Amino acid sequence: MTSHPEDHKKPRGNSPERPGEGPVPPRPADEAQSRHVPTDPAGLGAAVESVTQGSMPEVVGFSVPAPSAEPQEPIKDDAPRGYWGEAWLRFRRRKLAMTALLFVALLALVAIFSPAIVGTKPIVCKYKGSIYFPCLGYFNRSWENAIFTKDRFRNVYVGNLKEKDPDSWAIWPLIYQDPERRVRDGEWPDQPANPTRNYGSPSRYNLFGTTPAGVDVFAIMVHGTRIALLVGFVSMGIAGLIGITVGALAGYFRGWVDALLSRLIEIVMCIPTLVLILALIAVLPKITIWHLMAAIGLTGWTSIARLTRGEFIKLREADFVSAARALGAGPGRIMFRHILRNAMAPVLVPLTFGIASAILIEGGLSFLGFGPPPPTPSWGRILAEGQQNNTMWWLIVFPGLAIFLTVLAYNLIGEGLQEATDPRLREAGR
Amino acid sequence: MAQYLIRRLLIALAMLVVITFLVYVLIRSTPGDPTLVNIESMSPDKQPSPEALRRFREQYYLDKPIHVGYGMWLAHLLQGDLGQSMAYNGAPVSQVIGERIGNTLILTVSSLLLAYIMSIPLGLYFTARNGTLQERGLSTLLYMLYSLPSYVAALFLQLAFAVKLDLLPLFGTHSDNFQQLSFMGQVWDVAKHAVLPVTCFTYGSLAFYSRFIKANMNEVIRQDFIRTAKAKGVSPRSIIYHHAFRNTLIPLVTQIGLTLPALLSGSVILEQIFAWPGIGKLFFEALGYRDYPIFMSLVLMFSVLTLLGQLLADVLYAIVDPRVSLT
Repeated sequence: MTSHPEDHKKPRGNSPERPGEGPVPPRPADEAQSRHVPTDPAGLGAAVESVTQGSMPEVVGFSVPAPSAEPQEPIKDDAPRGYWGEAWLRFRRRKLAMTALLFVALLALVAIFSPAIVGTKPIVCKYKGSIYFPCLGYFNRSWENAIFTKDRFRNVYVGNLKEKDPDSWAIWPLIYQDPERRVRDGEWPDQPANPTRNYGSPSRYNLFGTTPAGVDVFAIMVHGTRIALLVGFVSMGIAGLIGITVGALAGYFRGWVDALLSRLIEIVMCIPTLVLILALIAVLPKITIWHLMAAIGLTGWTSIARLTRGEFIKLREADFVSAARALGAGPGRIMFRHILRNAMAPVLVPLTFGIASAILIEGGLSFLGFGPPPPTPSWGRILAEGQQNNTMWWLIVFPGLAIFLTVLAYNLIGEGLQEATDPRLREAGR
Repeated sequence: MAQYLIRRLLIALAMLVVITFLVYVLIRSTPGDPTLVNIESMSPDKQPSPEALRRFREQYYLDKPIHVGYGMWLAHLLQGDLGQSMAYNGAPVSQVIGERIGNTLILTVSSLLLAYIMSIPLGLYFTARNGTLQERGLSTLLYMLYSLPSYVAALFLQLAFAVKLDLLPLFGTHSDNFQQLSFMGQVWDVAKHAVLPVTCFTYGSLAFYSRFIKANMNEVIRQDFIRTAKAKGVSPRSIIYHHAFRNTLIPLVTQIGLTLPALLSGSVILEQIFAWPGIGKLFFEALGYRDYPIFMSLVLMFSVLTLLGQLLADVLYAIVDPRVSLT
């Protein structure tokens, strides 16, 4: 409830993600924010809660003209849902955000089941008396049983299985194509070899066409979904960890810690991402997608740190923090159990936007040729091939749309989250 | 104020030293030696003698430890000497950058102007028509544009306008017969080449600024003084233009400070796609050639601009908003 001079003097907080923030004359917003205070252990919560309820009836009695079909929507005063429960209700009302969430869920499904959708390795097969799952080899080479290497399958299962063990059976993926190599003639009954060079326009065998080397674009894209999603989550996991820690320390301790960490944030903002990634290649013998994620995470934490810092500066003066301190809680406990929980919502929003930008950066880096090496399927690399062969429109349109839709989905989720959790925007929404 | 400025500037200077040192260490420890990179690009019959190589290494302090190399770079910098490029026939760095910066400015300045000119009316339109079907449609469209990665947009535009329709050139800054054209012809030629890159530079910031203005307007429009203005019968148009918009100028002005680095740095990826020889492309090339002097100068330029931009934003903010004081 304390409004800090700091709040009004951080124009840099006007990141593209939160256009409404910052340069606003004082509004009753800070009062509303204390609604998500009640996680204090001191038992003072009840008092705080009742005070807020008394002073802000219009928020507590929040009821929206519910979309006709669902009459259970209005929130009753006597049925507390908790902060997140309410946020989820509000999020669910936003059609675009929900569509985006469904889209990301669909992508996750595609990523998990990618070897079962497109592949040349059987999902399940019985070979020489045992059951194997060769398709797991797409997740990790070593998960493909060594017996197939030993028996010289050379990654082609169709003929070899029957030839080497007539009693074998196999369940195949929905589409017989491979994200790493060209499917040859006669591998699969009635399926011709993949066209190479610029002849591979979309057809019934190659839904999204083929690359100049004859690799199926649809297969690369389905398997690339894994990479795209992983990049977002892993790199933002790293960024979130660093950003929240740095921001929490700076915001909680203030003083020289803050000065030092703030300078650190500014320094990292100034070092170009490309340089850091090249430096990583320098240290490591070969770059994999994991190194790329680490690099994106190590450069992308600054905005999260700034936001966390701002929230901590605001919350460290709150009554529940004094209460916790009076009870003898140490700084670590106060920071990460009491303050961070109350600052979680505003921090989650830039994290979601960060996932979008991580996917964007990965695509861009792969496009520039700094991505993971060729066998790893990546959307960005198809784009790069498309630019070199610009008559092959399918190399640009499909991966381009995929990157665009994924980034859009995460941005929409982020915005939905922001409006569902930020009490200021929540009121503005009506 | 003066004290504040001096303190900020001193901190910024210290940070510059740290940043350039870190980047120098990083780039020097990346594999790939500039001498080797240069030799690879030469024809086999014109290989430099070992003597020339040794001199080359000496000239750029490649034979010295990293911290000595950095110290010499800093010493030269303090004397106003950015050094000589390695990969661009030893031309002075300032000259190489000077040749490229005009190209980048063509793109960034025109796109910034376009974005501002178009986003202000759009933002006001959104506020005035808030909630109507057209407004929501347009906002959604702009939001989608905002999420469209610029390299994807660039490739889509190239595909549509250059490859399929053949209306605009695919890449480059000018045609082959540029020298024979009249002056107006030359301007027209460059403009035609710049259309696609400028579009790619603009649409994102257009979406951002119009949303930014709309968000700020929506904040202001709920203020009491707007209600008062309405109550005393001021026309809606006048409320939007005179009462509300003027109050949203504050964040808009401070935003200018933050666009400063982007103005000069261009975009690595867009300039690469359009083969536009600007700063972004130079950055990328220098990285590939391991051209330390050029690379360090560019990093220095970006960092100075970023730090200055932040300072400028804070100062501008204090100037336009009397409620904020710098201490």
